[in-house]
Amino acid sequence: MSEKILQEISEQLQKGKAKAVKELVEKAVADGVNVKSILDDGLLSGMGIIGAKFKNNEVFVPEVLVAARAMNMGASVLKPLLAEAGVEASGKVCLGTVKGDLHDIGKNLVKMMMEGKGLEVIDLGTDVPPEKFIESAKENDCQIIAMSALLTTTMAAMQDVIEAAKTAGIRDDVKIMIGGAPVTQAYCEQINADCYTPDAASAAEAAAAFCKA
Amino acid sequence: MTSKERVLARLHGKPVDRIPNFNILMAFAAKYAGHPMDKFCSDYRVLVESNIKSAEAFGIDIMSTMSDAYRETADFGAKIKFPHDSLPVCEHLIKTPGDIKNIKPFKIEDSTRMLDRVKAIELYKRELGDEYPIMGWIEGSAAESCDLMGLTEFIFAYYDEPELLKELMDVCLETAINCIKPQVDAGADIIGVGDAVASVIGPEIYQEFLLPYERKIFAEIKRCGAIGRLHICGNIAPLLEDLKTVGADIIDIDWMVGFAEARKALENHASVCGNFDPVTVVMDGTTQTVADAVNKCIDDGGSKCFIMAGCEIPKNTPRENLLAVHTALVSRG
Ligand code: B12
Repeated sequence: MSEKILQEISEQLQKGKAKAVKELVEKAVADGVNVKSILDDGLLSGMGIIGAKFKNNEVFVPEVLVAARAMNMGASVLKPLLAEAGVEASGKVCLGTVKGDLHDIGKNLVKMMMEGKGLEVIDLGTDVPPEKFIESAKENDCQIIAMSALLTTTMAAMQDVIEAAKTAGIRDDVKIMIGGAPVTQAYCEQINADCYTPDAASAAEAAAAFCKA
Repeated sequence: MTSKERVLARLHGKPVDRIPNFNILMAFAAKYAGHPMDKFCSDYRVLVESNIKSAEAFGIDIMSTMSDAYRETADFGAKIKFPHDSLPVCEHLIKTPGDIKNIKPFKIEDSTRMLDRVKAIELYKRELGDEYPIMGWIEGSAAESCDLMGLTEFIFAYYDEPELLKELMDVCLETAINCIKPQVDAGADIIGVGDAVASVIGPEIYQEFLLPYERKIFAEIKRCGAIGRLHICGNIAPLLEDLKTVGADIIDIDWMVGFAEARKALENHASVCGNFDPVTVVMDGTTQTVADAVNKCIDDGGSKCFIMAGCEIPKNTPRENLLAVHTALVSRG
């Protein structure tokens, strides 16, 4: 029985039906389905399918965005329950697109996927100067600073943020994650960031792992 | 042949002394002419001087009025900042879908940044007469809507409030149409249309929601007697079928799309213009990688193709690499 409702959650999520997902999650909780299983086998499994289709060019950015939104609606129902059960990754991430860069779709996807994992994301928006990343990380006690850049010319700003973190004396207290189309693992190593991932789902996974560690 | 003669002949598949060089220069041209980006974007005299100098030095066959994506956006009333030597940064004027009702179409004579573009066209015409084709520019209705509200917000509005979003697209369309004839009257031979978001939304939404608007824009360009050029950054391979009916004379093809595939799809409908990678081939490559890429595009693009990098030439491209495009075109004849 619980399998059927989990399947339905996954299907509605893939269609981007946020309201239906929320209602189904509430129903599943009321029916006593294990909350961790609702998250893993309903929400995250549906999102995984959409993510794979996106990689294969079977669906496009809009489908991914509405699916992620539906996932977050469902996850918001589970959040307090997961926290109670102590299974939720709890952590804070400050996330933004670097200075000079206004591309934000990738960043927004990363945000939604991280929130789906139960992390709190402070969204600094686009064109974020290095000082702002640092101030916000300090103010909010973030474990992670995550940066997105889509231009080869703005990628360099990631290094400025890392330098600013050193100067501010917080480099050892935060993990620094970077991503965006032109960013690579090699670049991550070159500028001594802590983590690069090529897509939003793996970004959320890596962030959750950092917060558990 | 003058650049203008070359471009017109090529468009009709007639013989040319060399294939037109249509590379898109903005930040590169400003830097080459020794001007900061804020001046290039906000003063038509600086834009015109930078582009003429660059065209002469690098064998570019078109005089462009592109600088950044936010000319209309600023004229709609959005706050815009011009950092000294980087791209302008523009705030979203529409903060909630409810704000859409406050956006009104404008006319170019009452505008600031679009009027500056008209002045650039007039100045080109005075300085160059008929030597070069001059290209005016407008944003497509979807791209402009995204500039006003944000791309993520645009997509959510598409699902949640499609009627309201159509109202915004209509305002953007009306404004775009208002801005075509004055640019043609000022001397523009070509009107470019930028609709970057088309490459991220997939073919279904493109067909239903963007294509009808783009068609109306190209119909107006045609009515005004100008050449229409469509520029969509990114991978448009899934849209090639639909692009047959858009009504553009020249369709830019970014480097992610196979040039031969694009030509095949669009052969009887438009000239393809492209399409090597501006970053890996031109900026980070060598004169040899550039020459190889140009030659491959000439082989793949057919008798009406134009040659350029798939998108803007990055500011820090080595000069000799950009010049290598011209050298390759001259040696192919
Ligand atoms: C849409 C778009 C725009 C829109 C942006 C709207 C918006 N709100 O985002 C507009 C029209 C405004 C725009 C403007 C410009 N653009 Co643009 N744009 C694109 C386009 C078509 C799609 C980008 C996109 O959203 N992709 C989809 C998302 C989902 O992918 P993503 O961001 O890579 O994110 C994924 C991963 O990278 C990862 N990820 C992302 N962030 C992070 C962060 C972390 C921490 C991690 C771990 C992972 C991660 O997860 C995401 C999901 O899986 C690309 C072409 C292309 N197809 O790539 C060009 C492109 C990025 N743009 C380009 C350029 C040059 C520009 C302009 C300079 C053009 C101009 N001259 O005006 C301006 C710059 C404006 C500015 N100051 O930023 C170039 C960049 C070239 C380069 N390498 O430097 C591209 C590649 C086009 C091209 N062919 O040349 N653009």
